[in-house]
Amino acid sequence: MPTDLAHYGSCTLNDTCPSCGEGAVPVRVLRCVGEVAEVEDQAGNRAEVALDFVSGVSVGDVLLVQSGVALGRAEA
Amino acid sequence: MKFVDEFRNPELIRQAVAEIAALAPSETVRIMEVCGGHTHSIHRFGLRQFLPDTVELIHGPGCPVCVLPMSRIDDGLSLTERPEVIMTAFGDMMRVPGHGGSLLERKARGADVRMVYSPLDALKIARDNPDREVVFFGIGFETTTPSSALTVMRAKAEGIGNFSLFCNHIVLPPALKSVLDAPDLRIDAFIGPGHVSTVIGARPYDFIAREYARPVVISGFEPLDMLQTIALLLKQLREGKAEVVNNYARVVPEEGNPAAIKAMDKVFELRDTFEWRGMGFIPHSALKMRPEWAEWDAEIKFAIRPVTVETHEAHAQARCGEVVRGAAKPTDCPLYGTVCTPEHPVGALMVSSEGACAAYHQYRRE
Repeated sequence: MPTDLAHYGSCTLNDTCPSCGEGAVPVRVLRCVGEVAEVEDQAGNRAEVALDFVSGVSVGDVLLVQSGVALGRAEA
Repeated sequence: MKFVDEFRNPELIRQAVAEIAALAPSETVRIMEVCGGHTHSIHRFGLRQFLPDTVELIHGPGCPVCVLPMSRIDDGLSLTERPEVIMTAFGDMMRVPGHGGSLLERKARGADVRMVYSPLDALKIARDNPDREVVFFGIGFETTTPSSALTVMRAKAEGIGNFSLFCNHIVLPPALKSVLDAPDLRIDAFIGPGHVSTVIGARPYDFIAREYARPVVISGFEPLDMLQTIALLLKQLREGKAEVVNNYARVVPEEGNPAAIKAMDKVFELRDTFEWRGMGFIPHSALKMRPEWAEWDAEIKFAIRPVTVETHEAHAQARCGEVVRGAAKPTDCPLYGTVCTPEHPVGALMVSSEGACAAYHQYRRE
């Protein structure tokens, strides 16, 4: 059973305060292509995010994204 | 713990509440939740009801659109009057009123203003419109600054000269120093920001413990996170300790995100000073673009004056300034919930979903 995204915050890709320092959206990685990942949030919304600041990302990882860029990875 | 049920488990919540009750201070302590996300959680989950009367929670200056002075918004609005400009901004920034209306109102009147989810989307607009000047209204703390830095670096790498950043990025630690130095704000302890700390790590708060002898506990957003954090703070206060504790280690590395920090440092440098709504000018509290990035700096490209002065609030009775720095609660403002509502905001704190006034309004209990 996968880690629950909701305990990294309730924000989704469609419902977040993008400029707020606390608006990072927890998402799960569906696919990686180069430095871009396709991700899905807890509501099923999907988006592409840049991986420039997080290395070694794999499918299934939980990332925190802010304004289209991954900023961190949750512990496994 | 891996599942949200565990973070909302009634038994674990009861244990945390009991711990807080056992640590209840005899005299009032004031704990500041620095970030709007925490304010939102406190009200959303009704956490106040679990706290002793002697624990007072004070919201902090952690909403970037709320602390941006109106004159700075006016500077952004002025750019929309240029026919060559496509102004881009995050959705919440679109609704924040300056003296001359909001970006959304400018859009309604025909200006080319577009909402974007990421500055990288603004760069795409620039790529697709080579005969126009695309400006991104950059705002936010250390969580949004990396995306602005990345966008400018990509603009340079791709040779896109018709994109520029109107930089209003701010940094959090100097604002906390300003709070600690304010003579009318006695804050005993801090709930440290969660996701800002993902980027900057835990060490930038050391000065709060070392120089001001106040404890800081970095927290997540679940009810159990928040209650455990408050218990940890009360325990430190009772024992006379002042330490920085990372209670959100499942997300926040001690050293933050070195790659994001490096990118920010490459593109930005500290301004000598910057004005915060309600807090005045705070030294070294905001970022500007380094001279080598001038080609993508909207302040240089459009000769915007670098620092502006707040002249007056939108409404003489509004108490946004006091609310934003925790000196007054939203409910102390005569406009709160009457003429100032999320549908018709007078002040910025009612615009953003994580502004203090919006959080109070959304979850208010009659």
